[in-house]
Amino acid sequence: MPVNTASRPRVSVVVISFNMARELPRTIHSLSAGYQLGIAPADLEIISLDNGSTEEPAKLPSIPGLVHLQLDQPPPSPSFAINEGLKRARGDLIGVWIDGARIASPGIIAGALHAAKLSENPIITTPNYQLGRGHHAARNALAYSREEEDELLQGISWPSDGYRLFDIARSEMRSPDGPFIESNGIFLKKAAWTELGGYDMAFDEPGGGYANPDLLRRALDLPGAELVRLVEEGTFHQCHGGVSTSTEEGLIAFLKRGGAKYRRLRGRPASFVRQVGTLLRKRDYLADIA
Amino acid sequence: MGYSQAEIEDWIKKYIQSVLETNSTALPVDCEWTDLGVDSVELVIMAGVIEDDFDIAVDPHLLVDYPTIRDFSRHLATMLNRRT
Repeated sequence: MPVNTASRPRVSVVVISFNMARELPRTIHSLSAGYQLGIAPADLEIISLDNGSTEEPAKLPSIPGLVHLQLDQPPPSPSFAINEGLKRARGDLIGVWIDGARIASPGIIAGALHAAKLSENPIITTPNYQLGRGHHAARNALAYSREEEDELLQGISWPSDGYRLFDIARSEMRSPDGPFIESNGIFLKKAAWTELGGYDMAFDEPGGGYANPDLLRRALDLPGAELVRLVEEGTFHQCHGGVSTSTEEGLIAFLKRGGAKYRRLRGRPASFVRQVGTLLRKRDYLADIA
Repeated sequence: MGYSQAEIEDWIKKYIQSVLETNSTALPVDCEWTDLGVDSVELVIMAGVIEDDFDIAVDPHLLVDYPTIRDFSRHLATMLNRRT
């Protein structure tokens, strides 16, 4: 049966969630046309995969191009779910949100589409932020809560101006163009995803362990790969009790255990990416958008 | 099995060279981690790899208390040799 290429989206985004009834609807909304600047509904496909939630299902907004799938007894790592999403994605450019609790800033899709035109094999990354006053792993010490987070979002009238997320968030990096170990909103061309074979399911622990840093490294090692950073965009983590983001002790244990496993698998330490790459700013891709 | 401070220093230097993706043999052992360009997250990861390789628990806060390759190597060698 011939593929109807006429109706193919320009970009697909694969979003993975687990017990994120509160957080996922915001993330999905933030990726939709309308919130995303300069994007028509037909440009975009969102493939949302619930990785076996045990709590109440998320009530998702009605959005053109949204496909929501509930996986039945999937492996605990999101790698399997991501790869299922990649198989279904029809866009030539595909983004992956390994953590469905991350709200996007409004120019990510336009920026990724622009970046995709700059190179044969772009590795397009976005900086990671945490909503609130500090890293959510330290939220107990800072008395940060979901209720406070909800108030912060109300305080900036989100989602009316998504760029105000920067006013209520803290960067996970020293700077958007600085060293980083992973990107939680990463876009590659479909051919690159195919060449990589998606995420490595050897990272089989809940949360995926170092699957995401590993993916970034392997992508940058592809022939002709060029790093492009959307330095004025971001993904903003909502607190939700994730594997690596709940307590300081949990974060340290995650980093130690995952780092040791990564070294055993890859024969080199997990480390930050230090190359700067091409830095794209909003003026590069939003200037023509009214 | 015991380890000398020099052996530990050599292990850490090779590890840091790999993290920084440099072949420079001139990695100063008296420079603080941050001045070497190593991020605190990478230090926590290194603590996990040390645990894996040397079969010893390493509190990453020790890397704050002993902030150079030389200082930390000396302390780790003492820890390792104390248990033998």
